[in-house]
Amino acid sequence: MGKLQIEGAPIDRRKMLSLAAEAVAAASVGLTWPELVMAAPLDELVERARQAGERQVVVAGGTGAYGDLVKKHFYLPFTEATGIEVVATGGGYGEKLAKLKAMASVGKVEWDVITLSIDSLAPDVTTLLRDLGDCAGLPDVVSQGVDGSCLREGVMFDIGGGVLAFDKRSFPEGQAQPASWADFWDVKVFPGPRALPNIGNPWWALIAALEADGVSRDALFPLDINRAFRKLDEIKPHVTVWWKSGDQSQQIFRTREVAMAMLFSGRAFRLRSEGIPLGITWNGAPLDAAFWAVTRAALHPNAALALLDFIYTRPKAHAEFAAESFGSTAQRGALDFLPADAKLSSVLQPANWSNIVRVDRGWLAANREKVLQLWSTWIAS
Amino acid sequence: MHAKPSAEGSLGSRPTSAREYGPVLSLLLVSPLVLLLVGGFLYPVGKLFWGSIFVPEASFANYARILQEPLFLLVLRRTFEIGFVVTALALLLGYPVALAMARVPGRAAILIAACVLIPLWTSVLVRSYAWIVLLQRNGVVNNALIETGLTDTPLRLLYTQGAVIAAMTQVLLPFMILPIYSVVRNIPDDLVRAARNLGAGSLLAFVRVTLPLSLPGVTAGVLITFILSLGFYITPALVGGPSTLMMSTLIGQQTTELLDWPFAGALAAILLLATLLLVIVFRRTLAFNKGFKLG
Repeated sequence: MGKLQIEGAPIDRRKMLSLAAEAVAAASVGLTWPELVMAAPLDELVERARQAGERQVVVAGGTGAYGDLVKKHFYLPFTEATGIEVVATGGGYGEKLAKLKAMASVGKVEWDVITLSIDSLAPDVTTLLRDLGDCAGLPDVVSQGVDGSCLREGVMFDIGGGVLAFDKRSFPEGQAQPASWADFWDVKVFPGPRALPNIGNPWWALIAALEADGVSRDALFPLDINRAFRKLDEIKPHVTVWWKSGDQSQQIFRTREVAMAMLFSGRAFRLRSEGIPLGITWNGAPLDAAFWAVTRAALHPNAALALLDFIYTRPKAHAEFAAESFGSTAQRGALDFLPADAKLSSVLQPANWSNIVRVDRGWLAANREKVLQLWSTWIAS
Repeated sequence: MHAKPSAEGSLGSRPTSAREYGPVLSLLLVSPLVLLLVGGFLYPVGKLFWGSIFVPEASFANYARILQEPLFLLVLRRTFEIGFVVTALALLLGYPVALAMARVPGRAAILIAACVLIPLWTSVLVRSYAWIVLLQRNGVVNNALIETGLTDTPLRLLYTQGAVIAAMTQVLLPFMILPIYSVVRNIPDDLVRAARNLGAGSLLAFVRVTLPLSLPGVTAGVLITFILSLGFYITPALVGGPSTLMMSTLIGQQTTELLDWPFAGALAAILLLATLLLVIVFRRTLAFNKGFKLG
């Protein structure tokens, strides 16, 4: 590990090598500091934070059990490796976003890093976040992340999706099992009550409906809203539960209230760990991701960038985090450290990751209100 | 009724109580209630209504939106429909129970009272969850139906309008029974006996004597049940689905999820207005108000 000590303590071998390489490069081509920064490895990001006197980084992240896991696997190791203290605060996504906007409006942003849901990347939010470009300044993100980890305004952390989960007691091995949204809509071949989310992201159900109606994946956006609702009309009588919370979505499988559902992948794997025989497919699952971003007015921007790069190192920690949180992070290397049974169904499996549908950000920003309104009327009638 | 003020404080003495207490003392006596009403109801509700028109600027845009978007009228209509059905069911089920409570002698009456009161003292949340246990796919009702061979696949009972109506009726039943009971209990037995004595059968005696005299209790029970059902929140949210969305849940969404307080205020104003109108119409046309005014 490139372990560094602050306050002029000895520098380890990797650091020496990178300093030497810089010296050579600078001497031979006459490059100056800022240009070298383009490909700064983690140690260099840390060094810059040190030189700027940034001894801490304030992160508005998750809370509760999840927050504790992030602290254990990422914050504490970061402090140990860099000497930069992580000051953790947190809250729900909506709450944090409201606070960030309020802080920005009075010109005093206390947070350096904020974690948000990918669906919240609306234009009024992106202006509050530092533009990372193609993440060239965060080499570990580029080399270790899954495709698309770099979001320009942030880097993905937790990744998952709205998977199609089915109860194997209703659809046993050896017989036909649902494998796509078209199957979810096929109530003749796959009879049984179904569940879909009603949690303020109706575009997930619209995506599934259009996939079921035969729209090819690259032609999904812009979503044909009318066609999607027409298709949803077909399945509505068979959807007995429109779940309102992750807990409820788990409970309906425990009590066998439904035979199949669109679930958060994390909830589906949690159910499996409880011994409920769930089949899970990533085929056409809408992407659900949280990302970490540096605030535009961060007081410790260099330390923040170092943290963002750091979370893409150490694949083993990601595998442990995944096992404990039932989720996954965007660190590709973690796949090698997953237990055999988890490996195949992991979102990091290239076949699974490429099967995920990403919501078109521009479309969502332009259509969010309209779709929410149409949905609330449709679902209540 | 008594013509003179009486020291016993019977019903008839009420109009003269001002003379007994004097204006200052009367005001003092009602002041806690008035303060509570102003601070706990008039002020917050007034503020909400004020916001629905004057925030961010004076306009009726929030009210126009209620009329324009089909969702809100749909939910308003459904709220009143469910309210009517629940009230009618509660009356049908509750009236005989109230009658029995008042007329059955001895221990049986205590047993009936316990059956009415113990649910009333139990949390609405608990009773709503109990309905989930009963109605879910592998719940008590479905298992019984399957075991008796009435059906081979579990029926869809939970998260339906029927579930909401059943659970709400059960939760609200005591509010129907108790007012009727209190009136029926005070109908002197002599009146029924007199009717029987004059040749009426027990059914006729009930229809001509007990039923008309119990109507003030029915009016009170119907009003309380109906008004409570319009504002019901927990039960429909737990045992219903999106297709049984009711007004209070919609208002709750506006305040907690969308943080649109002015619009929530507009919805609340419409609900309150519609409720008041209905109550007035109800009392004008159906009220047997001689007794009701006193009780």
